[in-house]
Amino acid sequence: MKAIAQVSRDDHFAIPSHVRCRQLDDELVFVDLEAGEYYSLNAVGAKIWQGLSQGETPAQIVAALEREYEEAAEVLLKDCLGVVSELLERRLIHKVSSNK
Amino acid sequence: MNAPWLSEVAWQRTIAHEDKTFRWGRIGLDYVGEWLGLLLLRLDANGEMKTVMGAPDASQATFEKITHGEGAAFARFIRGKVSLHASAVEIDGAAMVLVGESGAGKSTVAFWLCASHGAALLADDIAGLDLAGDRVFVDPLERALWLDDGDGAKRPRAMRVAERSVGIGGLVHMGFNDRLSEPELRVLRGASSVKRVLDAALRFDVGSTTWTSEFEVSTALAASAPVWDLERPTSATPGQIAELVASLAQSAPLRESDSRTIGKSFG
Repeated sequence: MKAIAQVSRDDHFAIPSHVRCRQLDDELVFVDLEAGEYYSLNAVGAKIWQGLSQGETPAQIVAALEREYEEAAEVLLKDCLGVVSELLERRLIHKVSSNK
Repeated sequence: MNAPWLSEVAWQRTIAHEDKTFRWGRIGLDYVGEWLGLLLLRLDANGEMKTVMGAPDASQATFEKITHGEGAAFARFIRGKVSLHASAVEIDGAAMVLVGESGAGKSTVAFWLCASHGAALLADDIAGLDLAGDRVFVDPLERALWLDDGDGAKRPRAMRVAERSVGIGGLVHMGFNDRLSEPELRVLRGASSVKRVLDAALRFDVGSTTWTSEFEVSTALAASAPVWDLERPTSATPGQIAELVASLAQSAPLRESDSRTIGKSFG
């Protein structure tokens, strides 16, 4: 079974130097320059990425998403933590600190 | 081939693709690329050509094709430049790039564009891309189209060749689909359009030399020029498809003639 990276709503993350990204339409395309592998995120994922790259925590990102999407906060937080966890597992972001 | 230094090459990787086998290795800081039975290249650490040798049995035409095609792409790769497995022509001041699997009809459509629509050849099989600002250009590399005259053997046909690099007006991914009765065109956006560029990018397994430029070129191309999927039934003629691609070139937003007009109006 795949291990799930542990992330919490109050963690801070940063984008490592080996990751480059570009917004195209409402999607985000990014590459891991160490592995030569490409990824993309849809519009919501792109907003999560942008929040993380600006130093926001998942909780802060979800607060912004709540204003834009008619979805329950707990659903948005679960989805956000899922995306963050996957980015972390793939070494596309790294954890810099936890507020808790 | 009998280069005196050949026995000193530390071969790193052998790649068999279609009817050719390619291997590359190092001798000191230099790179060596060999298409077995066809061509041997020695490049310095910056990808500048030091030695080009054709195999004794290879025809002059084959030697020219590999030298200006895959050989040039290998040298470009060492220099960190991106090349696509693609045909490309200049039409109405814009480069139209045709990608797709081998046998998708890229060269044949490029021929029809040259023969019937006044296009000039940029690439038969290998298109060299360069980034200038946020715009992607195709460098003219190849000088002939290799076409099957119906007997299964491809032969070179000389074409009018573009004399300079040309900004990309669009990229068309070509494929067959016999469930269709007519050719079908679909505009791709975002990551799907980048994927079409990356799928056609040549990688020689020489390390990460091109990954940054590959990302910059593929995303700049997707951001600055339309990328289409063109599926057609096998009954569609190359002439029909060339007509369609020519009409796409007419609507391309980045025609060289347009940018010259803008330049003049501000000059």
